[in-house]
Amino acid sequence: MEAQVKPANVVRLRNQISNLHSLFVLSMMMTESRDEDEILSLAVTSVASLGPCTTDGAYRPAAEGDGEIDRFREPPGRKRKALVAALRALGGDDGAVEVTGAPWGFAFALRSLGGHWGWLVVGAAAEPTADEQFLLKVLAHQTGSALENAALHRRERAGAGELRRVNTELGSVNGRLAATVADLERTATIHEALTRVSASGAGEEGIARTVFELTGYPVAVEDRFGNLRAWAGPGRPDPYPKPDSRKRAHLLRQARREGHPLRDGDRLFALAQPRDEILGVLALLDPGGRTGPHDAFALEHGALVLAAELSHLRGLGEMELRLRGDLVDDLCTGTDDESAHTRAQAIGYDLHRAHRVIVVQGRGKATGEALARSVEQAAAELEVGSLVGRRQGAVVLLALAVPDRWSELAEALAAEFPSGSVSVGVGGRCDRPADFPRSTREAFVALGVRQASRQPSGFTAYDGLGIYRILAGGEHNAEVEGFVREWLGPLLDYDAAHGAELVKTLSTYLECGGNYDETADGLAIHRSTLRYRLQRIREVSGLDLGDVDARFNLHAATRAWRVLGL
Amino acid sequence: MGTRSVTLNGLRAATGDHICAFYRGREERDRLLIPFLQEGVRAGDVCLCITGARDHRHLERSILDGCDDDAADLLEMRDSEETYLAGGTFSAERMLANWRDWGEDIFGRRGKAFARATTDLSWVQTVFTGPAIDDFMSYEVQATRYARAYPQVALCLYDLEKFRGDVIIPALKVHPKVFFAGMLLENPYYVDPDDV
Repeated sequence: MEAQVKPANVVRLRNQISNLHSLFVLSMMMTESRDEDEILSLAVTSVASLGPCTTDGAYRPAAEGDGEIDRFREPPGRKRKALVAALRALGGDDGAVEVTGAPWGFAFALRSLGGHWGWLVVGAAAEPTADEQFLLKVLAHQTGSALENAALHRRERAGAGELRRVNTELGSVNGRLAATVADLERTATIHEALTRVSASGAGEEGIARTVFELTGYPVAVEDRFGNLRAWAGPGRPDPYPKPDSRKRAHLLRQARREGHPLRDGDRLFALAQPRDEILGVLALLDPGGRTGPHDAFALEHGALVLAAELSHLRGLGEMELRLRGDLVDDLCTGTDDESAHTRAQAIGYDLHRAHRVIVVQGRGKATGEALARSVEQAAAELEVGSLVGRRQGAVVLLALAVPDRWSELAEALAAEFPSGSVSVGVGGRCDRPADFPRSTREAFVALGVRQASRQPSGFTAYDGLGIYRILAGGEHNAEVEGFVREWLGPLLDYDAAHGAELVKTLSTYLECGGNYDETADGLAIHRSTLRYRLQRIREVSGLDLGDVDARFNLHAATRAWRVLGL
Repeated sequence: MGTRSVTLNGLRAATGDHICAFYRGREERDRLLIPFLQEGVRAGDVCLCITGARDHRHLERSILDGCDDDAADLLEMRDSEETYLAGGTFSAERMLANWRDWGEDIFGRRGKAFARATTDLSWVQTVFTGPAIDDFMSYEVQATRYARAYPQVALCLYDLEKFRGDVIIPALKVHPKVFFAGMLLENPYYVDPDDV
């Protein structure tokens, strides 16, 4: 016999199943959500739709994990201490609790296989039926499962996020490492290439070419004044532009202070500067301003190699200069032929050719190193030799015995020092090293004559001295001195005793042919002073300047006085 | 009564279905709604789409994209303000009367064979709270009866980002079919209008 089901029960059961179906779909929504707050919100807001209960709220362990219990934000309300204490006492279980304003209160634990996630606290005017409580229990369980699922996803996401972060960091480290390795490889290539060119002896041209090959930019090697010494790459300017000297000096000072490559318009340049002295400049031509760190490194390293190269060249030059100076000195004082030839050969000079000793002396700016450099330069341009030294305050040039070049030499030096006076004395011909001391002596005699003449600027060749050669004859100096003493003795003594210039005045007077005006001009004194001095000369010497013999002998004596420097 | 092959997100629906579809956000709604109505206008069905007015232009353009010019006549875009909330408030009686008039017009006067009626119920969230939700759900129960009365499919769209359990649970109870997370679930225990 079939059991009769009351219609009211059918409606109740259908309603219960409908609620369970709804809970089933709600559970799917919670699981799909993966957002713990949204899950709790769905649970809290569903309570009233499943029966006669209202929600007091959802409570969950605080995130800090210190045993505290937080109330979920929905529905709005305040956490109650007594309720929290009751929940703590329940632990992970369901149980009756007191809910404000509700005769019946209950806490449904939000549990899952993985743990306990909190409580859903509900209240009602009367205890709900078993069916109604069952629905709330199912809701709580579904909520707990969904919370566990969300927590798992959160941990998974955090793990995945951490993994991504580590991977990204690893990628970044790898990237930096790869960049560092590439950087090291590049700098090693630059270092190796420049070290190789430095050792190869390819010189400045080789350094410029290597830096060009490393950077791809045209390269210029310049001296400190901006003159081009070497170029590599396309677009070499012709003529090469000469920079303004003041700006150039300022720029180099700035580069020296900075201590790294500097940009100057379309150029990036570095100094070749061993120790404190700037020997040259290495520049990359980069109008687009596209040079990178590696180009700057190649330039800087290239400048170091160039500094070593220029320093080496300078050392060689200085040594050769010293050797040349020593040879000039020894030849002028006297050395044996064999030794002289050997030493000349060592510095690449052929001493077997005929020479003359040239001595040069100047006044004002035409002195010292400046005069020596000008003599060297003029001799090179006239192709009359390259052995230059110093002696007795004069520059000595051992020149090839080429005819008719001395006036050109004197003119070149005069042009170099327009405000000064440069006197040149040319000694006699030397066919072998042993002749140089004589030629030196002769050159100094000629220089003395030139300097004593009314026109000190210019040259005098010993070969053209005439009577001066007799006066300056080495073997007869004692007789000449006696002659000078005989005629000028009282005047020389007077000058020595009174600091006067009677001999000089007499010499100039005779050189000017007795002309008062020219003599006064030559001595830069007034005519009356000249007249007074000539009267003193007559009184002191006791001679009549109008007497032909006396005048001739006095003229010869004053010239000898000048030539011999008595 | 006419029949059609009607699909929602690739799942087969049946004539007379009154479906409650849950979605998250506007993009997901459009992915559900646009193919459903596009399939309708291409099949010659009258398609009614009730949403907020702001959505009309882009929905219309998307639904009619690639369709014949005639399709535009089949698509009716309506605003919830001029339908559910006409006169400023919701009235279940007035709305059910509207549906009846619309059904008479479409199937009677115009003699159309099939229709698809879609409603985005986001507006409910701003209008109803507490017991008023029960009133609206009573309307939904009657809407099931209306859906069965004509060759049509009715689709009610609920945004999960806007609604909570107090709307979701009642909505689940009163719809014979539920679409959620790519699944079309039967609800044999829905509140049948004939039992009310």
